Amino acid sequence: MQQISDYELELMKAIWNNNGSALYAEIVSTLSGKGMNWTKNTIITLLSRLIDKGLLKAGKIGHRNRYTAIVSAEEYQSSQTENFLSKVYEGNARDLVATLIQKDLLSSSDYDDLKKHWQSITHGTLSE
Amino acid sequence: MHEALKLILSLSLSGTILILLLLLFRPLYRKRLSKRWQYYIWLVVIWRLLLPITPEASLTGNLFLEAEQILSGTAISALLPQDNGQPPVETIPEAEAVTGQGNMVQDSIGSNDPDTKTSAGDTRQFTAARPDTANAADTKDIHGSFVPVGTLLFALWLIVALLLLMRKVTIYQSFRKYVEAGCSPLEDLELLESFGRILEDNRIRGSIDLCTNHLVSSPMLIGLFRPRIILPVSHLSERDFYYTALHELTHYRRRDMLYKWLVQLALCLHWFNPFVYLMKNEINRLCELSCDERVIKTLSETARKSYGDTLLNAVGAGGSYKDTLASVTLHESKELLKGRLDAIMHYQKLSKAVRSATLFITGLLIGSAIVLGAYAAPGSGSVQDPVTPDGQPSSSSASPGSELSSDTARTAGQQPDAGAITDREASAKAYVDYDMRYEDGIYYFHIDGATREDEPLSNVTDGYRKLVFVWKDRYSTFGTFRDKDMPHLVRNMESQCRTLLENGQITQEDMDLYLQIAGDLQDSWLSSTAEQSDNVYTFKMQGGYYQKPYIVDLGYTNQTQPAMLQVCHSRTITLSDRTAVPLYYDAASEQQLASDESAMTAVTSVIEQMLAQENAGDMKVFILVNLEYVGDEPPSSLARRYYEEETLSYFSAVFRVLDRQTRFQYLDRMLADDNISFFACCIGELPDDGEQKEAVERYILKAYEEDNISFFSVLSGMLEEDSKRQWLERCEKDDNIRYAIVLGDQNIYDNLDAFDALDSLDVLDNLDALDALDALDALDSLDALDSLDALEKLDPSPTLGTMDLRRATRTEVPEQVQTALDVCEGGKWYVIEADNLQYIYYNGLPGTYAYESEIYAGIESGSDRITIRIADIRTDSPLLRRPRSDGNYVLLAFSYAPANPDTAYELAIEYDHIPVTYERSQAR
Repeated sequence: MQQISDYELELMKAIWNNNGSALYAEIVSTLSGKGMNWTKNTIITLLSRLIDKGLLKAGKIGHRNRYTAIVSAEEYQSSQTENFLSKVYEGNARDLVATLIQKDLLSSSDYDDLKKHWQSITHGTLSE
Repeated sequence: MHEALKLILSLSLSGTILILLLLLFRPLYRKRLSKRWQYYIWLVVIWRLLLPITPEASLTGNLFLEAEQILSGTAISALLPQDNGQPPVETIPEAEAVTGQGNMVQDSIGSNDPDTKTSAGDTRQFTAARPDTANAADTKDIHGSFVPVGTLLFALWLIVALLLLMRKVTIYQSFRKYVEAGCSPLEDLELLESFGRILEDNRIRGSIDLCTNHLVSSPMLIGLFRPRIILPVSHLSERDFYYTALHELTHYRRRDMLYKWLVQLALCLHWFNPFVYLMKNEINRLCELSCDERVIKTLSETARKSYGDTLLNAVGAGGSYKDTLASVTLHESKELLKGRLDAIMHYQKLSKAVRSATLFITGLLIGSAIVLGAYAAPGSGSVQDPVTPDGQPSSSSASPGSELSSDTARTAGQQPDAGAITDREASAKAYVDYDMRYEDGIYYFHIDGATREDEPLSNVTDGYRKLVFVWKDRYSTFGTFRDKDMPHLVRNMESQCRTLLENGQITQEDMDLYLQIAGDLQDSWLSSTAEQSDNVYTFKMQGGYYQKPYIVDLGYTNQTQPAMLQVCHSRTITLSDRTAVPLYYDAASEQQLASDESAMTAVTSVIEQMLAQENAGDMKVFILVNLEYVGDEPPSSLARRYYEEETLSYFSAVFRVLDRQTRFQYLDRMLADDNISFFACCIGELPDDGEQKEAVERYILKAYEEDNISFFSVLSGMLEEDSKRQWLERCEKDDNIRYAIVLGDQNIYDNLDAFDALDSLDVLDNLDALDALDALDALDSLDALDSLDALEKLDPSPTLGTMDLRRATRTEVPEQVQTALDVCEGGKWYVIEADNLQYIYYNGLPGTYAYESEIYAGIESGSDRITIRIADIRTDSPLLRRPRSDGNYVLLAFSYAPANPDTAYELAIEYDHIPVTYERSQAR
């Protein structure tokens, strides 16, 4: 998957939040709701770039454009996470979790949830 | 002769006459009529060249008929012996038949395919016209002996035209693909937004992408379905970006691309006609000039000047090595930009008289085009149209002439100033005097005699700005604006004004006034540099002047409202002609000026010298940058000292007063010391009276012989047009492409599209073709970069090794390599090792190629990675033509020595951006 810029990511988020498909007008209103009042040219240009990179496809409804995400938010997140993990942590997830804990990015209740979840998975398989 | 051939030739002839008319009268209308008219009037000529529409009786048509009559008469009599000894009497009706028949041809004039129809029609008509004779077969014979020659010529013309057209399209496509492949989309949101706002301001529909590609030599607009603007550098100043965008968008809006393709079409169809090439050059020139005209139409004078600055900057941007040199003075490529900048500075709206003359001349030209017409095989109904010896269609040519004289008499009598008021000036009549004061981000405008006491207490957040319009009895506030909103100030103000207007808080008059003032502020904002902080002015400098016993270094500016200057001492200097100029200086200089009277005298005298120059119009306010006491020390010893201490501004001050011989001695020394900044500065200081020219010629020859490309490039910017051409020829003869590129790197016209690379039949245009290609030879210019110390900018990683990569030919390489090359199969990539050198070889390219390389230091993996990229560039530029005996192949000699001898390296080769696999072998 190709890398996209922060602003292109905002556009993708706007579309993902609209169930993966949005009209141009809906995208504009979502963005301005977040305070991003970009000009028409900027938005259309960024959308075209996303289409070129294969994350979006465009279709016409009447004479309006509808943009549909080809890559879902989950797919994007997981691919970016894999990239990040291999690049920065050289695939070592343990160090990543350590950092999350050390930097208080993971709250203690999150940590407990995680531990419980982990135990249920591992114990689940063991008991089989 | 073949009918269609006649048609083309006649079209060409009519077109040529029109071209000559326009070119001959150019000195008359060049400065008087708008560039836009001059640009679009050529459409009339193109129409005449392309469309086979003509009245039945026309100048050229009749000319051709007459010529044909004579020709057919003689040709037939020449063929007589061949045709079974027909009695001559039979042939005369033949001649009549040629003129009298062919109404089918007449009808088919409007269609696009006259050839097969007409010839078939003709033969049919001819034989049908003479059904009674048994000589129908013979008629065919006679006619048949015509056909081969005519058809042959026609076929030749058609083939060349089609080939040209196809090749132009192919070249354009490959250029476009190559450029688009190397493009990186612009990610800077600020610039994208700024660009988007410009589009909105100018009400442009459709979306345009922005990308950068450092290989491109100047900004360009490319693409038909997905248009995009490609910039060579991504870090343009706000002002430069604004004007560049405006210029490109104007091209986009006027669809200049279509016009250019039309011209190319005409070129293809009339490839044999040299005047059409003249027309093309003229149209290209006017394209840019009229685009400039359109852009500056809406700009005020200060803004126009900064537009000119942007153009000047554009000459330097994008990989040229000329403007990274001496900062004090540098001879600009006057001749080249002169035309455009002159036009910008002398732009003025046209008077009504001129406008009606324009309309009239246009009509006249269209009329001539119709009258000139084209060849049309005559219709049956038009036998009466006399093919008289003088061939003048009766009244149509006479009256325009007389109308012209009476009309000019009329217009000359009109008041010339009537229409001269521009929109801006007209509203300036409603102008009111105002004073401006700036403090802490707030612009206070005192209107109609208001003063500081009338100001309201106001403040604004750091980094933001406000406008406060202060009247005696009231005030209006507008804001807040960020710095990046300033170029669009008027637009932002408009919406705020409208709200106030609707609420009845301001009147329409007030709003007009506020917008007017905001416009001025916006212009002056745009005309100051991007890095200008709130309290500093931009001053221009000229370098020091030696005025015994001081060296005086003065800067100047044309801004007459120095109210913004703070922390400066100032005094007013009275000159010998009783005029006064303000002078600003700092505390240290204050001391010097106060303690020594001769200092003041020296400064005054330098100011007077500067004001005697031709750009004195810009010098309204002076600032004393430096005052250096040198006492009685003679200039020669000063020069020696400053040269050794490398203080350029002092040295150049003293250089001016040295004698000629010493000057040349220093220039020689600078060349020997490779001291390019001193050289460039000082050679620009030489007097204009021939000494400079002599120096340029002498040193450019030396630089060329000593293979000093950086000196060569500085000097090439100072050559005159014909000298430059001579040098270009010499470089071509010596097959010295790097130097040719330097000479050719003068193109200031943006590459609207790849047309510059298309014109292979015109040598001069290859300067443009080189522009499109120059940066591809990035490695060759590494030498030049070395001399300029620009490698510091490239920041080479200390762990990278040294690479040597050169083009080679089969005859140049050592014997064992040649033997190895001979056994290579075509269409495969090979890397052949011999004696520490590796040769990259590929046999079977259709044309010439360009290459570039990249080294990636493998810090982790322990091996460096070298990528060599090769691209296929097909062009007919004679300067890049390789001798035929070389064949079409890639052969590069390559060696790499890593920084750390233990480091290994991998070699990757890409062709047209696709990695290729190669076979390694060893040459014995």
